[in-house]
Amino acid sequence: MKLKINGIIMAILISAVFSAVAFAGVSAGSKAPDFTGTDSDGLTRSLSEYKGKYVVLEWLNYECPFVRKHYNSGNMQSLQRHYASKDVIWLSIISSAQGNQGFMTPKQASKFKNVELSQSTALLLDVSGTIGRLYGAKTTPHMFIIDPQGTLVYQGAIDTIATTDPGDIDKAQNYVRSVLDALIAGEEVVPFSTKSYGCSVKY
Amino acid sequence: MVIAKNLVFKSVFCKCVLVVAILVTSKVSVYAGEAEAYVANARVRLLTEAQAIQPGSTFWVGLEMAMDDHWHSYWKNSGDSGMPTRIEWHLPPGFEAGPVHWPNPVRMDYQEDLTSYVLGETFLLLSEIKAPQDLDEGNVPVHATIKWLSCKDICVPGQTELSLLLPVNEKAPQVDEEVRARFMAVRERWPVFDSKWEITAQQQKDAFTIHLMPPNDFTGQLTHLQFFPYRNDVIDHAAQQFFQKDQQGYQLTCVKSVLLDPGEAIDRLEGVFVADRSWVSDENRLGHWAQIGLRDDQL
Repeated sequence: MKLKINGIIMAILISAVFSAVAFAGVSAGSKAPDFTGTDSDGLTRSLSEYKGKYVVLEWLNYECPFVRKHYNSGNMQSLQRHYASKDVIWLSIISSAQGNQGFMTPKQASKFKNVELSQSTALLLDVSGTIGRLYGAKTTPHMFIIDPQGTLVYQGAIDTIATTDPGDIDKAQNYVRSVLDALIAGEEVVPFSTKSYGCSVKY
Repeated sequence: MVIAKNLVFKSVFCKCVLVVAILVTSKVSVYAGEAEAYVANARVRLLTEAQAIQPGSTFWVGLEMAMDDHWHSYWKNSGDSGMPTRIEWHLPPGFEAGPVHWPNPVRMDYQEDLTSYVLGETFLLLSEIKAPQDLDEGNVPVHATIKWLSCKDICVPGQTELSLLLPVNEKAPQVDEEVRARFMAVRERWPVFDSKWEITAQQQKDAFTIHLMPPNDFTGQLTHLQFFPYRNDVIDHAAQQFFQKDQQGYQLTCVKSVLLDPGEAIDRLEGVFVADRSWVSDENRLGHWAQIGLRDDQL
């Protein structure tokens, strides 16, 4: 008991020292850290509740032209819908701070999720940016794919053409598709990262 | 979309067709012949010093971008976010456009460990265009599709078509002296490409250590240095780069990108070093290009 308390104090001290460098980041191949957040309907969601499933994390800022590229074209929603039918959990996460671009109130987010556009499992409102910093989310979009064992298999760009032009979607190789299709088919995917592209996350 | 490529004909009859074609295409084509546009918080325009094109010669075309106050656009490697400005040339057969020459980038740190590489509020991107020897009289359209991202705290994508129409002239062409002077001033601030500086590097598990040895006749000194790689997946853009003077010259340490595995070796580093002082005495050259070979046995 004493050891455990000391451990906690140590952790607090260390995190205080490193709070200026609070951008953890998760490298491909390592265990995806657990997190808890509130979704657009006010429900609490944790990564750990999805153990045993494939999970996609999608960093979102609906005002960013790179995000609009994939939403206005229907590309993102069709990915979300397709992989929902394969029992993949899809969490869209907004880490914009209040007053910054992309921020949504719960009411706006709920409308966005349920009525307008998003086909994701849940839309998490990470206003404090805790989940974003934990994962090292730099851009919108920034994609993370976690396997049923909890390993981060992929993080990075949504596809291979880093532009705002929806015309480039069909020309690009979609990393989310490539990785999920291979994993679901039982093929081995060596964990890898690519450089994500998009607007900076507005913490 | 009509691309006006085939406007240079050989016969008189065809020249009449040429005139008609220009009139027709300028009505229906997206390439309406404008050299200037204001799009996405930027005033963009094409400039050239050449007032005519001499067959077989080369001439320079500049894309000038003047951003609205506090807006910026991105360098060749945009860093952690953003999108580099791209120029797609549409030229008649036989013409070739060289690569874009970039001004020195500027490091822009956002909060939370995000760094991008941007350009100043007004700048010129120059490209050299080569005209074929076999070129008849007439007018040559030089079209460009420009795509970029304008950002302040939010981002707006920009895209526009710009064009110039230049007459062909066998004789050495007259030059617009004002534009020529501007282009020369831009060239004088380009990174140094060829010098007697010795730049080498080693790659370690987590970082690259770069050694820079000045030539014997270098009388200046550098007090600050930043390396801007061409690739966006080799260094951690947001990390501080550690600069120090050593016995041979200078040393710069750059943290490796998380996209490189600790054991992963790359064969070279290429990019631009930007200092606060000139690399060449008596000039104002703050940038130095380098392509540095790396051994893989140092990890």
